Amino acid sequence: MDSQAHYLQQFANAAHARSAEPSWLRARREAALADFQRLGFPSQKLEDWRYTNVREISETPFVLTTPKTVGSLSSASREALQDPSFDRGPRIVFVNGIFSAELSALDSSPKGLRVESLCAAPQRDTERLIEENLGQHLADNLSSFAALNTALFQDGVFVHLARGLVLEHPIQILHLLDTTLSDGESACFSRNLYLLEPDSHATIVETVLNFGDTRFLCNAITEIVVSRGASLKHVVLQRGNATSLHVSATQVRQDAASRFESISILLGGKLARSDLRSLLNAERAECKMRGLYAACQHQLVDQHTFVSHEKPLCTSEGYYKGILADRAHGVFNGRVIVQPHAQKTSSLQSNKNLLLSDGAEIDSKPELIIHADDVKCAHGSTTGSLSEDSLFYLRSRGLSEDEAKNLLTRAFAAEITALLPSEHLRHRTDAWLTEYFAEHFLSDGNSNKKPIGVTS
Amino acid sequence: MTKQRDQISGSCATDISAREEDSSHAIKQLTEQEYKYGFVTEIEEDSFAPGLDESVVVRLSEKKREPQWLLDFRIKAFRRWLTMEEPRWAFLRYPTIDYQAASYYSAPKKKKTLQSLDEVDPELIETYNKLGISLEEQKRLQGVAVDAVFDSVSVATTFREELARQGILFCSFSDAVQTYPDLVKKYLGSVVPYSDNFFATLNSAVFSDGSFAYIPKGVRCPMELSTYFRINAANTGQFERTLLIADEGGYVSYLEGCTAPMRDENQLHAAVVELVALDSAHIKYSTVQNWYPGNKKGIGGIYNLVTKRGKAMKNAKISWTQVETGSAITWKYPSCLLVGDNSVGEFYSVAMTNNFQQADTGTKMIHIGKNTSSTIVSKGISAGRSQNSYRGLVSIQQKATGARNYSQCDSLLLGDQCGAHTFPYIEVRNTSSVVEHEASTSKINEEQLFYCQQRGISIENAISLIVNGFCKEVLRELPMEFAVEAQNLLGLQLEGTVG
Repeated sequence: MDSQAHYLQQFANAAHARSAEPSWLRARREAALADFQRLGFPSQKLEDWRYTNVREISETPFVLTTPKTVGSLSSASREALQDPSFDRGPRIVFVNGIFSAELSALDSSPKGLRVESLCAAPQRDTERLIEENLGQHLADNLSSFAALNTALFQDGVFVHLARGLVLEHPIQILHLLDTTLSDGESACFSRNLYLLEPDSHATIVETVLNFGDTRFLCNAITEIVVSRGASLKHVVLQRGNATSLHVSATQVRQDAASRFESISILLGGKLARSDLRSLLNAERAECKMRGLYAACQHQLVDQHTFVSHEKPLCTSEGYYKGILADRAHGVFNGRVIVQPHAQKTSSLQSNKNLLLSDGAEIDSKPELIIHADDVKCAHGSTTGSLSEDSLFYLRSRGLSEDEAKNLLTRAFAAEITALLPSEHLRHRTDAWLTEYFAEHFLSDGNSNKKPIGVTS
Repeated sequence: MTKQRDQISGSCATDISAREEDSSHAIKQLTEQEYKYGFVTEIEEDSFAPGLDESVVVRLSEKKREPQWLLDFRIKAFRRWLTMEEPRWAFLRYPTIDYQAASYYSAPKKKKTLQSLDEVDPELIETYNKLGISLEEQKRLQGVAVDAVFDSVSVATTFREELARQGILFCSFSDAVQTYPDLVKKYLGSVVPYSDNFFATLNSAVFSDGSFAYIPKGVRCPMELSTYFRINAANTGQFERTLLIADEGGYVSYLEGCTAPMRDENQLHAAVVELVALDSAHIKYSTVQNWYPGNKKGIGGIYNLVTKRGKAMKNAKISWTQVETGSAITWKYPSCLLVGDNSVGEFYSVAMTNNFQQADTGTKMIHIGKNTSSTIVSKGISAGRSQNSYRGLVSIQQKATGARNYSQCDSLLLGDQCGAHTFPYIEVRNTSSVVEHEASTSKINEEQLFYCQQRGISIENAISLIVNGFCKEVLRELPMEFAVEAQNLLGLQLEGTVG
């Protein structure tokens, strides 16, 4: 296949950069490239990609991004950096997938915490940790994108929390994907590794922002290990645009009595696919996954979650809400597996979708695969549109149709945004949503049918 | 005082653990049942040698003196089938089926064409009596018209004349091809096209017989129509084809039951059922499937790979009710194409698996017309080392405004070696529709068991009671005669020592 040949060429081109890497990493990259050659890009015949067509990615000859001077950042990117939530705690910034020391603020890191560029780290004392963990937690069937990422990743974040360390402020990770800096259609492959030693506590906030109007592919793979008694709150805020393509996957491994909580806000993108997987590897682990996805125009958002209960007494919870307008396409797939002997498992999953126009589509597929009998598992999925009664109620109290719709849509989203850990984040997200809804869902009304009984 | 309390709590603890032991023992006993329909009838059979190629299809068609258009339909399907691959997406593990090993035609040898039930081979009548399907009795007493299909061919149809007086046509598929070729030609393959899927295409090529019914405009069928399927011969596949047409405003309730002898090799059953409900018609289709499930070690049993689908036109209603207790492998998704505005689809299912049985069953509700609605209630019960999956699709097309769906899938696990899985697919493309799905999985509630036992109900009866209660929403949808049979079947799979 041509697209495969293109990436083989990219791999060959980057040979020079790899020469400085340790031999184990080079071996892993080569093995992963062979995997990618064997697998190719996923077709819609694969159950995991049933509703998502990746032709736009496989047929575009993306060129890997290269380091750029920060001086050429667009004003929009600069503005994003001014957000007050970035002022506290350690902050690490990547521009088009490449670490920017100038924009990052890592001096304030407390003792026992490492936050650094993954590619800078292997040369130093953390190399052993990285060697032991990098690529070792990915499930076998994590798709060819993971293989391609291992082969080509340029940089990423390495986070390490020492035993018992409790962080006061969240670690801020900012990805600026600014096509005004790159030449033509480009791609970045980023790779992250977060290791939490026993009894440590942290909050990590990842913000991914797209700027510019050239096609841009971002492929990110994150591996997370939450050791015994440790706790991680992982927040992902991703705002795509009409030309952004995102394929990201996060694999978590949880040890005994660990806690992992994910809150994600996925806002648009030409194509945004997110896989979140957790392996509950020991007793009494707890996993919560909650998120919101929204899309409009011809965008596609695809949220996959997967929880594997390997041992008894674990609990998991999944709650995802979707808002789709215009001709947008939303996909939700939540899979829970309870392995044999994983008794006393409790797992609840829920997916709720709001369709704002008739051209929009949602494909929801919650799955339960259960091999143990002493379990309590349930899932639910609903799809509908804004309640006419609620709209009428608000209109009768003097709100315009747009205001009423906006209010109800934000209220639908608020259940998830309210979970965000700080006031700043809630404000920022709420502002995004308001702007996004105002821009796409409302006022222009091109494809929005007026609800019956409501005149504007 | 303290000592006393210790003693009491101590004895309580023993009680609880004894109770748990009791209940797991009872579950074990209940779930280790024998199949009681496993006998073989010694009867002269007229059958083809094993093997499948185009000449078999031609010979089969010749044997049945079929018209050219039907032969063309078979050949077209057969050629298509050769290009298709067996589907492997279901949550089922079974060895590749050797399609050349089976015989594609087996019929009780008969000397001449039968005129009435009196001429049916007494051995056959005896077989059906053993199954509790007394053709004689049913004819006289119960008012259920039965079409009995033995291996591949229909052997007897009761009440045919009485039904004909109302204009209702009910006969074997082969008869229908000869007697009402226009109706068959018009509707055959109109709901399940010859190219639909691997097993349906195979069936289109080699189907041997089945039932046919036509309800004329505005006629409410006065009795339940029923087909009883029996696989008897070894090494045969059964490929029956059922076509049911309810003309405008017609109503029919149709029952289907099936059994097979115990054999060590797996036998293939790939049927196709097509329902056509024209404007304002109502078809209720009930199945109690009790094919031989294989023995306790998972050897033998029927591979039940069935395509069932109904098409509902304006204001029509199609209702599927199934109780699936048999078969080693079940691959079955009775579906509704809700084409007409205001049409209604329903699916009520109980699937019980035991030992090494595997079931992947569910439904598809395709909403195409406006204001269409569908209800899905699925109850899965797994015991032993079985795997039981619900797989369903609810698709709301863009033009299906005002569509409504409610799905509920519950699974009950008896024992820690079995699996219960749920795979719903929900696709919605318009804003005025409301779709709800919920599913839950758990084991029998210890407190409920305790409550029953405390009131003097034995543990076996308590489990049976709870399981029956769990299935009640579905069982009450069955016609009276079948509901009794279904409850007995569930009991048979569950109860054992308890009379």
